[in-house]
Amino acid sequence: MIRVGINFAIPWLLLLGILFSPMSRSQPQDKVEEYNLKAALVYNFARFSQWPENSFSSADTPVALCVQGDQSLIKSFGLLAKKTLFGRPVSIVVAETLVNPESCNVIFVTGVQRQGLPRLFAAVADQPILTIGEMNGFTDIGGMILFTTVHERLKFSVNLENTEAGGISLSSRLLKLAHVIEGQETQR
Amino acid sequence: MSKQFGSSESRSFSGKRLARFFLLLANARQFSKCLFIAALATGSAHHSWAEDQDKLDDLTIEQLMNIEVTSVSKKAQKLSDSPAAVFVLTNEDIRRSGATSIPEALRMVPGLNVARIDANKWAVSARGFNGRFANKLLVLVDGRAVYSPSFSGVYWESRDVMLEDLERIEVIRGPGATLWGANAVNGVINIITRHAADTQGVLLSAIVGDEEQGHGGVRIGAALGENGYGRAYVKGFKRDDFVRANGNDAGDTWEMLEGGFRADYQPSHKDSYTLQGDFQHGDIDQELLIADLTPPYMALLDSRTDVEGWNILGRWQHTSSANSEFTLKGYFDSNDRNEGIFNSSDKTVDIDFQHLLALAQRHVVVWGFGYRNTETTISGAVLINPGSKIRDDELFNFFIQDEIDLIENKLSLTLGAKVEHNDYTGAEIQPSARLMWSPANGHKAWFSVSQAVRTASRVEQDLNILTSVIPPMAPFVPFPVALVVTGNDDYDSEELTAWEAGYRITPLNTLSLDMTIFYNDYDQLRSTEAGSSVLAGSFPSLYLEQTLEFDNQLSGETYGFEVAAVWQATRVWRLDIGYSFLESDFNNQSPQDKVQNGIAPRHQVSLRSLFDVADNLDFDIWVRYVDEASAIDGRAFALQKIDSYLATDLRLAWRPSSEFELALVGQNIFDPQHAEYIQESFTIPTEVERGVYVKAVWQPNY
Repeated sequence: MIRVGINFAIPWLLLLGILFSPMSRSQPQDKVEEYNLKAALVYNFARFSQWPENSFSSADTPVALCVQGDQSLIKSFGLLAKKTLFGRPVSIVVAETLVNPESCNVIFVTGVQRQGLPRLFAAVADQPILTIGEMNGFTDIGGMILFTTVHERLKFSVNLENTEAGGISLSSRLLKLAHVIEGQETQR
Repeated sequence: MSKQFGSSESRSFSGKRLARFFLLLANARQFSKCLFIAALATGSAHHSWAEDQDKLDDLTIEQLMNIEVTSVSKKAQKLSDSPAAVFVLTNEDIRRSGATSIPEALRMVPGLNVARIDANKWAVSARGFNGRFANKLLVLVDGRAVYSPSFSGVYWESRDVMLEDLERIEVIRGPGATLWGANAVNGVINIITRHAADTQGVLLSAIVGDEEQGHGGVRIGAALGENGYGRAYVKGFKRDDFVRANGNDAGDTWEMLEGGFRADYQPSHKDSYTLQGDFQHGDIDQELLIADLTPPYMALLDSRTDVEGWNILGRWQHTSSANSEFTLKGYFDSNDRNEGIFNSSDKTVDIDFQHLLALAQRHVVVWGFGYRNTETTISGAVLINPGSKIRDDELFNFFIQDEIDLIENKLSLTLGAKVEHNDYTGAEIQPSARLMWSPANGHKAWFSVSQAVRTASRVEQDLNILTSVIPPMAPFVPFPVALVVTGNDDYDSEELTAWEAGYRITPLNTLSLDMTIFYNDYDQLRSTEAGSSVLAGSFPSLYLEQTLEFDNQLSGETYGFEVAAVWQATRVWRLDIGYSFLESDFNNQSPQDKVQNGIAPRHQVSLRSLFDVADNLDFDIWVRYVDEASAIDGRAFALQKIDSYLATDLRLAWRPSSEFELALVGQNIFDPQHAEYIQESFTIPTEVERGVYVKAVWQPNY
């Protein structure tokens, strides 16, 4: 029984030590949480994209920015709702499964789960909806913009065939920063 | 059509996934209020997002592209949307646990009981009924059933994968029979490997340690033409003996060589094709005590088990529209074991079709059918009168499930049933009804009632096994008595009716809780009934053969609750807590009934602390408590008590660059040895030892 007691005590003491130590750890000031930066970039992608004229029903229809992923993403994307795009308000939807993807103007598919993606693309294919993803092969199967991470910095590639099929044109300022895929090049 | 919960071909209990979404229309003021409340509630834990946002606001896109990012754990608020007791282990969870095998990783799952029998054997079960041949848990690897049709159970040691290539492991406690079919009585474990596009480039991994003596693995992934990806891997390992209670080596070293490949091809967003396969070859040492008709009526056998297996699986998924998607899957699986006293060979061919159909906004229907053929070959010395050596069996199934959105985003009902016909017990029907209710954001409640069956395995219907020999008791019994457990052609399925309810809540931005309670009512459970006793053998080596025939005379109930909590205490520190309580009650009638089922641990706790000391340094602690339990001792016809134990694992990992990780792991670090389980028969009780190993993983940027 004594043995059990000691066994019990040591890990708990260790744990108590750990409990207080993280508080003192200094944060690297120059780094940013991945999804906060992605939120800022997704907003910029929209800023430098052009939708066909009939994409919005009226002059004050908001730009619908939809994020597929778990609810914790609200803290990264929520503040975009304060912003405007082309003089329109921005509405944010965060959902694990987007119910009406056709009603979005921008869709950011987070995570690397492929499940449900074919059905999402079946719903939004060839429509003026800017699709952004972060899983390998996203631009091979219909996606327009793919985030990658290289040495802790974000990069993105653009599949022009898919943007053209959707009728979305990207500004040259955006394309200058992107790895551009034309036609059926294999994307990593 | 692997019936996976979340991934590529999920038909979880939620086709449309019950569409919980959080709509924040452009009401900025209301939204900031939300955030303000969230910020108050979480204190300083997540201050950085606001700072980040302010900083990022003023930057140009060119400047944004130059900022370095830190990736945070995405698990803090991740809860499944299924009306079932689901727990998901991610690749990251497994990496940070220090587990070197799938069963070891499963110790993280609340409600599962994982007990290591010896260095190369595990007993894994959900909600009781554990054992080496735990028969009420279905295990699938990428949709391929690895449940043995000969013995009802899973040979965990020969069903390994490359852990680095695992996407995740989904564990569903409770019946999953409506989707996954028979034997998913107390749970289903879906082991899901990564898509080949996610395993590109080279990965080298190596382990050196005292128990984990040496592991080496290589994986190479590459693009295969346009829209195609592939990978291949080879791994091998050697593990040391564990020990007996007296400290002697248990003679249970083992070594395996494994390999495999996976190719994924997606010519368009409408079609995706997967072809994958694996092989395993292993030498597994074990010391067995087998019954013997001559004095001392028991023989020690130092055996080397030779295991050999391979499989190949193909899958085609076609999406015809946003409302319709089907999957066609087929596989072949071969698994041979030569244990010396017992040889078995299982071959399985399986074909499944599954179709998901969204109808009229409110219904998501999933239906499908399948066919399976299994050929089992059994022979060996402990068999008495083995009957026919080879047996061929067929299984047909049809299932349908409808998920009905009763109140949009608030209430949904899932009704389903699977009808199955198998050669052992005939037709079986397994229905379920599940209700999911989302009273408010961050709150989800679910209720379910379902029925499932555990069908007979070959050993229960047509094998006779000599389990033990009782020495003569002169003068009353002048002969040894041979106890022979005998199969019974009329042996029927075990039946379960399960009542479950669960509640998931995210009280804080940084805290999620998942609670489940259940009541399981079992009928027709396996029992053994005393049969004929005849004098056999020839003078002077006469013996009395007493048969114990399998029957379905036992019933019982279990109930309990399980809690899983994840607390992202600070940006760099996460706590995962799992607790489960289980009570079982069987209507034992005969003395044999009392040794049919061991007593499961009532309390189990798993507490993990994941601390990012620096961006490139992890320090992780894992403490597990398992209450006392008992295991069946088939030789002595008694239950053996197993003491409660507390085990602690520590892991320190350092990444000098993004391509290289070096980890130092200590397992059971405060305890030289402890017993976790005793196999039902043959194996000598063995204890788990303390182990320390160093692991290096090199993955050049691709």
